[in-house]
Amino acid sequence: MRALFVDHAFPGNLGGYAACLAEAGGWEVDFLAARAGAEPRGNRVRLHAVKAREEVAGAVHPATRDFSFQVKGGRRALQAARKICPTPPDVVVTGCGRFSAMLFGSVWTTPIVSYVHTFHEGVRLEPGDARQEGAAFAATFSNAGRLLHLLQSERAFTMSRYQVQMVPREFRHKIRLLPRPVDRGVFRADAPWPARIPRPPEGVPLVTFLPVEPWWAPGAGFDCFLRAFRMIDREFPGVWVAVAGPEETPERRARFREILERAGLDAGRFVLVSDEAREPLAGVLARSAVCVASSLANPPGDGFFGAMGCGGPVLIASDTPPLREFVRHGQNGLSFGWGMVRELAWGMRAVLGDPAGHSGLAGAAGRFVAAHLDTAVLAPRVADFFGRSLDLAPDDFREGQSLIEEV
Amino acid sequence: MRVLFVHQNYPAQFGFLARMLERHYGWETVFATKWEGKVSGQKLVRYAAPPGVTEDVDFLARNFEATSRQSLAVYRAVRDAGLRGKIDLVVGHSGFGSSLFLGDLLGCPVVNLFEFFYRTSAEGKPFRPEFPLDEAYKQRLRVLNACILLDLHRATAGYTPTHFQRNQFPSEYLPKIETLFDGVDHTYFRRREGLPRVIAGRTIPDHVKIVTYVSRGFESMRGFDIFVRVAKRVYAEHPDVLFVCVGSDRVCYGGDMRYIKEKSFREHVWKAERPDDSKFLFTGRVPTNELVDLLSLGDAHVYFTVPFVLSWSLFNAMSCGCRIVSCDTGPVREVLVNGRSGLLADFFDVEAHARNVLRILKDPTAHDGLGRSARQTVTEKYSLVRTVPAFARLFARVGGREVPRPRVPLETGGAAQ
Repeated sequence: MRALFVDHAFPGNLGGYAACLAEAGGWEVDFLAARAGAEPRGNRVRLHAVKAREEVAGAVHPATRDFSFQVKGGRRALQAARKICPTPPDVVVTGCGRFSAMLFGSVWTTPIVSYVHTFHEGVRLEPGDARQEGAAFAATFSNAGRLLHLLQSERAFTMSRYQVQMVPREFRHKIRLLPRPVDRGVFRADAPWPARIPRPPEGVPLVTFLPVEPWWAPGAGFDCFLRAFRMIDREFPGVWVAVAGPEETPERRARFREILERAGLDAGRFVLVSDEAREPLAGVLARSAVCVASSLANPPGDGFFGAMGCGGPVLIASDTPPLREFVRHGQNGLSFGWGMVRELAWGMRAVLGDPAGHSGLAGAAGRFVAAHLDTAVLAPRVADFFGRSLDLAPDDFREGQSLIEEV
Repeated sequence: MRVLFVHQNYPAQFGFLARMLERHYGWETVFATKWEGKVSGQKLVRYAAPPGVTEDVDFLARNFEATSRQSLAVYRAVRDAGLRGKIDLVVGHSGFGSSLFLGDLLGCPVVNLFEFFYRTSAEGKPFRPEFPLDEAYKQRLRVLNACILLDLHRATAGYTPTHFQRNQFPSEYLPKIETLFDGVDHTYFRRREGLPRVIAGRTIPDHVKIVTYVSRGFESMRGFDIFVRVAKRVYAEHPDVLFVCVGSDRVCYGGDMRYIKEKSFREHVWKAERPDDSKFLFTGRVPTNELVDLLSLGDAHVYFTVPFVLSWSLFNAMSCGCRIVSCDTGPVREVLVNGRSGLLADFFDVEAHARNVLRILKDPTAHDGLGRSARQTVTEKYSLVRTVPAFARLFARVGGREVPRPRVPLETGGAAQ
């Protein structure tokens, strides 16, 4: 059996599934990506990085830029796929973003399985508020590509119940829940600190801020994190902070420093780490005492599951739909209300003040990942899904049930 | 009930309907359009045509871009017109981005008119193999569906004129879509007797039979080339005949221009078929009143279409009691019964179509039954008298109102004119 994975980034959202499929045996797996943050590790995934510049030809409206990227990326992906696969593969697995198999259905009869990461329904129109209006327009138009994907796909899958519920009712019969595999070979307690990032002194605690959206985006909660950190900074002087996010530009780094200085914080104790390359991020997570994860609407990525998986840091997550499903307050981490600065400060203070007393939470998260989300554990299920996905019965999505309860 | 209709043109599919709903049900209607003409008795909200999409925008995304701009222009115009809280229902044409954001803006349900959904699977074969879809065009059609999908996703309910059209839509959305034809004003589109035999200023002798062909554009999708071949075969056997072609010399649907070198598909067909010019009369587009005259003068009417949106001209011809020769494609089969309300044959079977036309021309009166039956079909199923109450029921249901009774009997008819 041959599978072709197509997604904007490798490993991104699909890398874990591709690794599972390759490791389960009997599958040849090619992965076509526009951005490669790592080389495939110890399995038979063949990575094909394609140059697909995110640029839109001509003057398009700002609200339709994302869709234009999707179309252009879709065309580029198809060109590249034909070179890689002179004969169509047995199954195409695709993301629904800016580099995807959106147009494959018009030339190949191969079954297509789409991974649906988000579907924007949350942005409401506030007439007169230009920023809200712009966000609502852009979110609506970017859904167009996802609808095309859902329509052309024989099956779709996603990794959490929250995401299942985002998918339009009309397409729920196509969607399957497939937990996201975590590569514990990368996200492990002894992962080495990345060479290029300044290392906190020995014995100094590290707090990592793991927003799902880029730290500068309104939905990241960076402002809340900084305010909470300022509240505890005097009690725990010298604590270092790592902020994870996309690859940084010099302009963003400058802005980052400016924000810290304005907040009266010592920028020398703050480091930025890319969440696109897994190894450096894994090293930072392994060294962290606390990981603060926040997301208003977007589902978490590798960093979040990596933080759970390495079993070291205590996860403090926003009590919001995307994360609520994975973190239970007092069981495998702590949670704080969205925007609740004092609650977050309380959580960080509690963990930093009594690391040993909270290590059980980190251990529980690590055990959960080891038992249920580890690549080796999930490999048979993933292989089964892609191998037989076309005739599997629909899942029974019970209301209110979370992933951690199910597994 | 206060209904906002949205269409880039006026009256399009909604103008008559709005008037009928006002007149017969006492509803208030507003029409949002970029049409710049004048009309009395209809509240209009005009939006400026958004800037055109330039050639440098990706070929595949061009339509989406244009539609998106249109939807934003409509949104701004309706927002600035202060209609919030004053509208109970929005009715918009899907595909032009008419109503995408209006439900959120006005806080009311939205009904969309859905015309067509393009099927472009890899294994799909084109209906006309001589005009195959190239890969880029297939991809473009696939992306064309994007705007329609957004409307399908966001609309509260929808309708489409024919069962054939409804069946093109993804099964996931079919529960949202009703089949409801726009409606023909059968009191206006009726055969007029005793008209002078003058067409476009030209007097047609009594012994010359008249065959009509009406299409917005002359293109392969509406079988213009087949029509010319049929005409050639007919006048070879029955020389006293004039084929009157109503429509513009352009391609409105399909990608004909990519396959030909000539300036128009008509020119291409003319060059290939070399028909006798004297047997054809091209009128260009004609006003509705003249169209009724023309259809009334015709001895036979020819209508062809590939499996696509059915033309209003067919319903107009049926309503005028024309003796229709047509093709046995899905959309036509839905409204015409072979041998009863029309003479149908395989789309490509020129010989059979020609035989059918000749059969009628030999003895038109003997085939009056075809026209009577076609008109009866319209009056029973597709006339405004039948469709307007169905629209009122649909709109009332979606708008959360009681199903209304017409305040003025609909039998008065003719209101649309």
